Amino acid sequence: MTILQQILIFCMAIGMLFSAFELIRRQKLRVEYALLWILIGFILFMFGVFPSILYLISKIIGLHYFTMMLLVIFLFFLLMILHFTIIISRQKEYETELAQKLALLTLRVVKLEKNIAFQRTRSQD
Amino acid sequence: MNYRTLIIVPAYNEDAIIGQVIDNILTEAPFADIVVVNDGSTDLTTEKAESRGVTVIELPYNMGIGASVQTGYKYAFENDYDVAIQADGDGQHPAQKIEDLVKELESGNTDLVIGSRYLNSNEKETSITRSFAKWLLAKVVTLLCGKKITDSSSGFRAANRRVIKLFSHMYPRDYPEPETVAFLVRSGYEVKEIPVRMNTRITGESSITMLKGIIYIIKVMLALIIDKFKATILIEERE
Repeated sequence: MTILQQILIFCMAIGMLFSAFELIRRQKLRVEYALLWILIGFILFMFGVFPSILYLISKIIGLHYFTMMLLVIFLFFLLMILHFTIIISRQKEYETELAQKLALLTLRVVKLEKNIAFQRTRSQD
Repeated sequence: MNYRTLIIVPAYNEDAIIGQVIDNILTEAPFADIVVVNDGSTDLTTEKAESRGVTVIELPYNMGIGASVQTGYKYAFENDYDVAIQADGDGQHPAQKIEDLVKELESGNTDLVIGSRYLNSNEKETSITRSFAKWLLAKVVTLLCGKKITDSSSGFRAANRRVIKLFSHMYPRDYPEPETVAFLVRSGYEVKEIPVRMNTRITGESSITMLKGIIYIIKVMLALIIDKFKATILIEERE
């Protein structure tokens, strides 16, 4: 790995860690998801500072080709997207439940209000 | 007619026709209550419906046909109705047949009664693609659930208490009709069809055009195949 690559990875890691931290601070990102980004940032950081770890890993799992490494990264991102679509589907489900509940409750409130108003006018008579 | 019956009318921007549809139901099925589910219309659908004195549920935004109809089933479940009938807000479903659907349920043994356009009908379809689509869908549904269903995509159908409860817990979002029919048959519910003749649309365009029709068939078949592998949920046990 050239020194330029090393600096690039280091900068990416710092950027990622910084933005994850900043997003939590501004309450734009929930801690549970931010942890994922912090973890990725931390791993990148380690690779940037100690490139030998990367060599060690590639030796252990037998990944000698850069293309294979790319494939692993691609797979990782695919898994993350899958994870997010699961979350989106669940959110959509909750959202529908809530909207339906809201509509039904609104109807009940309106009916109750009418009932109360009706009884009031009757007791005044 | 001892059964408390609710007619669910999902409506999205139907103010031109909704009044007529409701009036029609009120005369043809005076024993039933009507609930209009307004799926985020931007026109006068709610006002037109309320002027007829029927209950209107207003969804906060346009949620699609599946979620609208399910809201109706939830309302039926909450208010303890014996029968819930879907009738589209565009006036295609013949209100005079509502009584037949309810009677079929009252005779017992049946959980869902479908008003089928194709049962005992020798009317010719308007186009080859339409009749092919109809044939294909019927074949797939019959194959997947092991029971002959001629018109699984009919939205004109009546559900008893068991099915109301099930639908209020789970109901597909898009193109729900064929999927729910297959699911019900597969889960051991008794589904029956009776022949009806649909009215031609009074206003508005059918939501299904040629290209949409092809996509419809593909999506429905996909949903049906996926449904086949879904675990059957026993709502009775979940409560």
